[in-house]
Amino acid sequence: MITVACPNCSFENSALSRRCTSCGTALLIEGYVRCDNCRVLTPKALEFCELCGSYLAAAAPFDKPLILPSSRQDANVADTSPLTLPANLSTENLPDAQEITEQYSQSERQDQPESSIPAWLLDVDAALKMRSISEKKADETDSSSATKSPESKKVEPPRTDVYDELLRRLDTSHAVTQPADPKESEDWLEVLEVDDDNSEQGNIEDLAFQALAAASLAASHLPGKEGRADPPEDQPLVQPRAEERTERRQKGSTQPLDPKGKLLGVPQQLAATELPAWLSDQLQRPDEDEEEYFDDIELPEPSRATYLEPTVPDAEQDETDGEVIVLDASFDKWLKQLSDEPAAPDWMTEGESSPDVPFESDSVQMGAETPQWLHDIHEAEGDTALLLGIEETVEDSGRFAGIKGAIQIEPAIAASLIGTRMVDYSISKEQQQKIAILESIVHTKPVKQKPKAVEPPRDSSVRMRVLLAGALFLVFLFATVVPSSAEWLKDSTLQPATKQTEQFYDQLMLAAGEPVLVAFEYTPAMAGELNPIANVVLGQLADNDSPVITVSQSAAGSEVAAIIAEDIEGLDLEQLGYIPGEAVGLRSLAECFSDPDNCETLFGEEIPAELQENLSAVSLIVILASDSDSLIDWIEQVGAQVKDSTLIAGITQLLGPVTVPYSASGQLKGTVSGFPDAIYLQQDLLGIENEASERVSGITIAIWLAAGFLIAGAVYYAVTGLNLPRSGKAKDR
Amino acid sequence: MNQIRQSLPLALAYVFGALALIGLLFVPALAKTITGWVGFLAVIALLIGILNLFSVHSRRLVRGNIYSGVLVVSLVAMIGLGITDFIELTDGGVSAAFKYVQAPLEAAFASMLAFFLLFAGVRVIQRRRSWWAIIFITSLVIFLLGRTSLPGFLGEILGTVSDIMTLVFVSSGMRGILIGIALGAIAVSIRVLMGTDRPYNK
Repeated sequence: MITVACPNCSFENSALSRRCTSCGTALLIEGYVRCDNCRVLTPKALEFCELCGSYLAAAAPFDKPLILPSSRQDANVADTSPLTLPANLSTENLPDAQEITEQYSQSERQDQPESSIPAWLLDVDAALKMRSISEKKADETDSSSATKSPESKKVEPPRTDVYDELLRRLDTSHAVTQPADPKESEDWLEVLEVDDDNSEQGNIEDLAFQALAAASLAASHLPGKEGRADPPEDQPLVQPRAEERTERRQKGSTQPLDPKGKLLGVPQQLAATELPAWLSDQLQRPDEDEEEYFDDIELPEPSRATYLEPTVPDAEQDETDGEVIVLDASFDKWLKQLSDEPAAPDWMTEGESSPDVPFESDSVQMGAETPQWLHDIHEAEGDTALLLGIEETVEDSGRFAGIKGAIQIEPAIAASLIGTRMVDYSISKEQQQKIAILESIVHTKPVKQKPKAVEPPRDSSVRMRVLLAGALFLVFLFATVVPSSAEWLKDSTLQPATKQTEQFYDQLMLAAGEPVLVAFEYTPAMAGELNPIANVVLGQLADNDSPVITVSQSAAGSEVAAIIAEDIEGLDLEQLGYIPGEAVGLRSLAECFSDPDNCETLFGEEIPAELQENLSAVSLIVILASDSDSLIDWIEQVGAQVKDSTLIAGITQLLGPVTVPYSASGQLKGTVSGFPDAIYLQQDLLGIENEASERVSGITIAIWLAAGFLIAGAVYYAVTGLNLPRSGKAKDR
Repeated sequence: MNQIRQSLPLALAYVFGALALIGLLFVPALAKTITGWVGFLAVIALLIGILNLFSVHSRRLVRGNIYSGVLVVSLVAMIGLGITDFIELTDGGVSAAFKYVQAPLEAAFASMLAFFLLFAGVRVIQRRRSWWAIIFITSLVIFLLGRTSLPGFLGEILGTVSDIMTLVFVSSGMRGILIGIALGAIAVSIRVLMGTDRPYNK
């Protein structure tokens, strides 16, 4: 935010402030002017405001600081001081309204037709005439009493009571005897018509003169103005006005107030009887050049002395368009309102109460029309201008002769009216380019661009899969089709039997001749790994003459058992079939082992007596499982209840780690894990040679090859992926 | 009505759960009866599942799904073979279909698993370059080669390392998993009995 330091108190003020917020001093910066519109200080070199773009020529007057006097009570305002009635004028010697009317009719109606002037205006004129008579009497009394008592020359206070009584009588008489008649006003207004020849050029002049006439009329009825005391003799501009006024009163002149022949029919009492001095001076200069004449006229600013301005009715203001002055029936009411106007302020009254104080401003030649406080403002402006280095010239002619820093009318008004041509606004190339881009964006219709078909990158994984599949297929083909070629690997590929495998064999041999329950908990999907174990187990059980009871928790398991049993000769097989309910079903089956007498039916199916007997005599339970849930259900649900039976398991290599805890705890007495253990059990322990023994070389080579691929892939991707992100967490997320 | 619909299954679950628990602990006959009901209901559920499967894929067959048609035809054929076997119109029709159709198909699909697993193992380092991936690949290679016989001292070393890993790391890990499963089963049972978990309302 731009701040301006106060030259007086150094307070930082906003650039928008005209005066210091702290001390009230006018804020000015040399070389800057304040915009009339936004109040922002702008360099004088610019013609337009930087902020709002307003023309800055009209801002010139704001360069002058406006400093009011500290106390207006010190101001000597002679012109606006209230006037007073003569001291010897009282309500007792006031003429009667009827008397005034008759006197006026006899003296004035000789020149003007009676019907052309409204009655109320005659009353006003009569009142004014009565006032002049009263003033004459007062002057005579003053002159006779001057030798007696010099103190009688003292100014008396305003005699508003006399004036009010006069107006009251006028109003009463007029209301009774002369009612308002609009027709009278219309006839009378016909006299006030302006010449048509001068209507165009004289409009402004007509307006000015009509305004002057109205102002004089208003000024003549200001409260206390009738008793206005004459200013001292050392004020030459004021004194001649009083003398002139006295001469007019003595002559009883009824010449119309028409200094330039524009205003007709208005009696002199209404127009120029009590005109202010400055206004009378203007009216008495018809011989000067018209242009100079109107340039020198300065109407009082209403904002400075509004109480001096009469409140003109709207109807009258609207109709004063330079041609006709409408004075209707409300005019007398307006006069009454004028009489009720408040008195001048105290500071002006004080100035009036001391008329002997000489006017101190010797440079101001405006007489009583320029108040002292305005003079102080000019002097303060001059001091400020000196401080700020602003040269102010002293007017040597005209109405402002002798005043410093007077605003030149011509530069201030004419310059703003004429103006200067605006600087051509130039558009830079960059702005032109931006405009072109904006237009192209706005006016160009969006074109739907078809996405270019991007060729998918060649997936190396497909080639890798094909390569792996081909390699594995060749290995299996080599090991299967050419088994003799793997003979040399036979010894080296056989894994030595584990302890669990040997325990499995031992338990299988211990159950010779006793019923054995074999659970087929796998599907044909895992038959390639578990069928060799099942074949070995069922074949050995057949060799041992052990009755075999097959059962399964899956529907496919029973069929697998049936298929395997078909190929084993001499097998005493009893199929218990499918056991529904998983863990619950196995628990029910286990209860048949522990309590065979209450196991006549199982899952709603009647159990044959032979089977029921074999169930009660089962000494070995062989679990052939490919999934951990089935294996765990058998161990936990059946093995926990059947204390007399032993559990052994033939499982896939995948389930090997799962059986380790159960084997360690003794819940499983032996396990055979996967194809290698099955081959070992078959060849080394049972001495059986079959097709499974011939495939072991091919499976071993396949495992080697798979391990080799894993190592090669890890090394390859570890080396080629050094530039890639270390972890694929971001991608996976 | 809605309150009854929600509270009735909860009441049944609570009552029969408590009865089963009491039966297993103190009244074996009661437990046996309840478990017998469970087996019967499991068969009914299997039958309902088969009917639902047939119904769903029949509608899909009407909409032109050829795979549903294969399933429906196979289901009807197996049921038909079972009926013919039961009425002795055919002998071993179901076993023959299983032996010559289902078993080879399942074995074929399972064999493809070896290729996918191998390929995934090869690209583990490419997809996830972390220390855990390296440990995974290393342990995999050790187990593969350790379960086979390698010539020379390499086979002995890998076999010993594989046994140590199995008995120490794998067994301890599996014990932890099994204990966790048991504790989880107890917690789930209590929650079901308390009515917090309502799997029967899903």
